[in-house]
Amino acid sequence: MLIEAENLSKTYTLHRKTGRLKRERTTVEAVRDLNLSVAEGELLGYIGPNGAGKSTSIKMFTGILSPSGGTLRVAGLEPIRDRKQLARRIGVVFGQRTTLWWDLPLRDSFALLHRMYAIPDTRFAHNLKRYVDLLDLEALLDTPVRQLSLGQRMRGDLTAALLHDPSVLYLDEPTIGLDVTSKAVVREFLAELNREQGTTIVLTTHDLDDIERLCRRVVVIDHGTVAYDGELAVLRSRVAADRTLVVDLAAPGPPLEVPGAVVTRVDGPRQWLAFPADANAAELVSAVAARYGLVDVSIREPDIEEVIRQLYSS
Amino acid sequence: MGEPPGPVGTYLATVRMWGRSAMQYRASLILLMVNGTLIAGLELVALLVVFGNVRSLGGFTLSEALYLYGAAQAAFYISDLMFTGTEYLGERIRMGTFDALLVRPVGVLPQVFADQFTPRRFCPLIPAGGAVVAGLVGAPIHWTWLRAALVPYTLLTGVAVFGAIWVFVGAFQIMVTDASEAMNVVTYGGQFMSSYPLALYGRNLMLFLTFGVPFAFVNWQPTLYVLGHADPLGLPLPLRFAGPLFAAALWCLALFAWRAALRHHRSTGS
Repeated sequence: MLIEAENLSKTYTLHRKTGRLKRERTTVEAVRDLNLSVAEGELLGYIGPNGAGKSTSIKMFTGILSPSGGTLRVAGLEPIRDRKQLARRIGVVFGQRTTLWWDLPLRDSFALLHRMYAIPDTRFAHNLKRYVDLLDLEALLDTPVRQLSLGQRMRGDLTAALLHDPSVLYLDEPTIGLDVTSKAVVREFLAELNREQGTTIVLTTHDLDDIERLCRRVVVIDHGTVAYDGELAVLRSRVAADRTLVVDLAAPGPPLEVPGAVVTRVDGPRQWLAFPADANAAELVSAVAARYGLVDVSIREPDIEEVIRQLYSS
Repeated sequence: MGEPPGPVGTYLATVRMWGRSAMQYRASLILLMVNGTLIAGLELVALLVVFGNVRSLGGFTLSEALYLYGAAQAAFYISDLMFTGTEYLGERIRMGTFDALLVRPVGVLPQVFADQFTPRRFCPLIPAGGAVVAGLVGAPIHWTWLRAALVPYTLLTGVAVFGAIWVFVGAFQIMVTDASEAMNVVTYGGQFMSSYPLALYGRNLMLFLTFGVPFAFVNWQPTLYVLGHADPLGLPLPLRFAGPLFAAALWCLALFAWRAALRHHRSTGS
């Protein structure tokens, strides 16, 4: 097992001023009795609502935070005690907070990592070439990072996190804010990295598409503990969250009446219809088209927040 | 497979990155450096103006005061050049970028020391160096090998003492994230104090500064010896050379505080 957490917990003690001198101590359990094992080569979706303990647990896995209870082993190491050793075995991408040097060309950031991680020269040259090719960074190597687009920067951050051949890669919202093309590039890259290199990937995201396209296994964290651990398909079927059909009509009108769907919102010629996840979307679209003048349609999958909300209300 | 760099290697590699970052804006860097040198020089002008009116201040002549001032300034600004990155720690923690330093296979403190390094920090060293040279040339010093050795010794001790204080600043920043301003009272204030003859401040304050705050060792005790002055407090002679012991003790305490702060940060993650 690459990551093995047993009854992992993290308690914060907060001091709140209640009077001139009086301070009230409250403890918050950010993570409690979290059990998780991740085998080598897995591509894991690590999801949950904000404040559920996701980032706290990831920070413990990466040796940033010390656990208050339980046992934790990552790559056979104890994260806090063996921080430096662990750092050589893991890669971390902090989503929107880049670790690249803002005013310097990408190449310079990579050169620093070459030295800091003591990557053997041939290994470094090989990896750099590989990731630069895969992520199409060749033309950008000499561009200062501040001039890169968000998507280009993310590709740079991914390369930076992988140059030292980590066994496990932690990604925090790697596709947030990216355009469709960049998202696709990043996803395809991660899938290939996992498939070809066998790199274990722990992916934190709010984008259900990321999960759907990449992860077979999903771990849902809520209230500081594992609320669901299993296949995505099973999660989806367990939670019957409605999908949404958005239609643009030729002209504004009263809410549509279509069997099997309920209008949830009307905004001029645009209407939102909720329909069950297991219903046939094509039939619904043709039913609408048969009765009304249809200009455009799109279908929205329930977002991850909604799936998780459903998971808890059910 | 090689090993990641040690503290010095990590520090130098990080300094180099920040230095090169600053060099990307060459024209503005040059202007800022000229400006910074002039501003630092103004303080020196103020000292000269004071001595235009009085012959000696607290028993020190102009040349002696120049040396005293220059040596303290040089020690402080060399420490500023080397260690002042700890001042940006609070901001890093607030921005959430401190985590990035913790997931690298190298020491945290060397990365923090080097944070936001810029060649602008060389500026105040130009007038300070000038004052030291002018002071040493002008003062009637009876040169011996010991006195000559004491000049760089004073400087190094000073840098070490101030450096330890920067470590405290870092530890303090972690504990009270946005305390950057509060700590300036200690560092920049202390720098001011040790630049002027201590005799001006009265006996109790002198005792406090000699024992309570180790700044005095930065240049007071050894400088008295170099300049051939008697110690107005009549402290035993060996105490004049106790600076390195103080510096070492201060570093031990500072590193202890740093470790405690880091441990605290890791258990709270705030």
